[in-house]
Amino acid sequence: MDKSVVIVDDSKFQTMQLGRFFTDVMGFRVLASGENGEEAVELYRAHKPDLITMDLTMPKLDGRGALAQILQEFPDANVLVISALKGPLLLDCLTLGAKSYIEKPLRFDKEDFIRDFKATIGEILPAS
Amino acid sequence: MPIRALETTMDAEGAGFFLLHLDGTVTPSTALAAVIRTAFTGPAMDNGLLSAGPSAASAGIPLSAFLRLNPEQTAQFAKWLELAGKRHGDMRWGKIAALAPVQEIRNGRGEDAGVVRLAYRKLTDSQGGLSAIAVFAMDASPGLAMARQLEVERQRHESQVRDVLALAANPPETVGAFLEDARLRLDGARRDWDDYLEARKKTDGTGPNGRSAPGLWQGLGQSEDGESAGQRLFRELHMVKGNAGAFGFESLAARAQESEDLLDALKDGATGADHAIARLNSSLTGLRAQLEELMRAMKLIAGEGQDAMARILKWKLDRLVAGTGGIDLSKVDPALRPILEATRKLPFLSPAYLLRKYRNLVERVAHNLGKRVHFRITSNTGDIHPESFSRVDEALVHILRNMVDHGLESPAERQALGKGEAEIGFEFVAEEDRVFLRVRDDGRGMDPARIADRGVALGLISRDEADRLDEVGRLGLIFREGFTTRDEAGMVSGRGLGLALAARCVADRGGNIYVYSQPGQGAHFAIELPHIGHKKLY
Repeated sequence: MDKSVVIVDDSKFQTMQLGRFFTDVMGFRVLASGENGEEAVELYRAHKPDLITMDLTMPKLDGRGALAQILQEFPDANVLVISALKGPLLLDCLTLGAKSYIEKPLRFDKEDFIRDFKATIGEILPAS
Repeated sequence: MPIRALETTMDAEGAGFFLLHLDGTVTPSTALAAVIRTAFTGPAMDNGLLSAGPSAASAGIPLSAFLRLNPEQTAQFAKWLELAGKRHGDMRWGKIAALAPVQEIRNGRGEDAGVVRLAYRKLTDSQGGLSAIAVFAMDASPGLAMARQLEVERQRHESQVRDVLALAANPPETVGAFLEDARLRLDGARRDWDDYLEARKKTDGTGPNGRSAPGLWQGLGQSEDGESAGQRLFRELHMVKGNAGAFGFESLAARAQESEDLLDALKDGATGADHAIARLNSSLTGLRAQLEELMRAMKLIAGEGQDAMARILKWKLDRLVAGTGGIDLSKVDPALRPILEATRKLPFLSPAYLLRKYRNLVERVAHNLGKRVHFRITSNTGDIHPESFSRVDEALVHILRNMVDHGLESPAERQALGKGEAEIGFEFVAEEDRVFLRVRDDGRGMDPARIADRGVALGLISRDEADRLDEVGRLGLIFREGFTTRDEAGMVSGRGLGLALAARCVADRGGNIYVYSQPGQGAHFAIELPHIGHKKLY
């Protein structure tokens, strides 16, 4: 069975890019996408995907808040932070239990970026 | 952890390090202090995070004191160390290291700022647990300066490649007409500009505070239709720019744009007039030179067709990618790669770069040995192609270390001998096909007879053979493997392998190495190498 992912990002363009990457390159099923933290929590509850990607700066509930809430309800949730922010907030998210992070900008035109992205997903979800 | 060995290795790459323990304390290394000293020349650190380096290795210094962290940074570091301890097994180290709260330390502002970059590597125990973190500190300033210079060079060559392509893309008559038109316009512009400079000299002088005098600008060289010289100059530049752009001559268009911008700034009196005038002057000269280069290339292409075209392009492209050979990067510590890469990409190595690199090395080695030495480039001609240089770099590192360790007296000895501060001079001449390098010190020198005796005692040579050698031959024994004048291996130059390695490096690359010395007079090493990678235009 293919692995599943929910994408949360307030930029529609980035959601589309991520969706295409997960489908075409990783062979994931993209179950849904959301554009703020509240949607992230609802979508996780509804789908319980193998992976949820989380932008950090979003309207309503931000990524860190959504991440904390999801992990409180589902301690085993695999949350991958995808953000341009690096520093205390990101460190905080990882301490809270995010599995790993990807730095924006999304450079799907760069081999290095794709290699790192694949390796990161491989670490979170080892091929069974 | 063989700290001493690591320290010596890091020296050669211009890096120091300290150990960061999981409890948030630090064990510094002596090499670190030297790195900080050479990276942060200038006055005392005003906004630096790093405390003055420790002089002796001592454990248990809190990181917060060592890096002068504020309470928030201290808390972040504690959090990061906890994360590192917890996640280093299931998250790639590179991702964890990238989250460390301090990645680089700056002193000063702008392009001249000293920059020390930190690279965090994990040290694990035999069970794979995290035992400590080694933090490498590299003086990134030369690398950054070179990266900037490289980028400028790269852009220039790239647009020149496009210029050459544009020559081919347009019909020869049309290009010829454009070039001729541009030449006439630039000549006219030049005349107006010279008139302006002349008039300016008469009215307000050329003192450092000279004004740009917009009024003068407007009134100068009024033509019948009321157009001033300034307006005319601007118009001509603008036409050249527009036409060059239309033909695809990018670098020419960019240069004309630059002149136009400078002229604009000058007209408004916005910038310091003298500075703006000097810049505009060189911009106009550069514009003209570029045009001439295009005209030469044009003639060549018209005469020789596709072959010449290919040759010019090849040369331009070579310049663009020059310096990609040399050191095998896969064998270098990943933390050092970005800096090495930056240095390798620069097409030619300038004397300033060599001076900085070797001065840092010499000063660090001397500092570790409690010696003082002044390093300078005594003379130089030409720039060295990095392909050639990578071949001799290792040899120079060995020779310089050996000089500081064995060749130079301690400060006390020198004082007793009435000698001043020790000096190491570096001299190089890059010719078209050969590179000559000379390094000399004013230390204790070597006695050929004693070197020969030592060679016999070490079993490297028989008494008979030794007696038959002349002075240079006897001194040459120091390049033999196993030759050493010390009974105990010195910490810095090791066991007499350094000079043997230097000699081998040079020999492997088809070069020669010589040494000449007299007791009390210092030593003098000379290396001669083929100048590989050096290419001529056309």
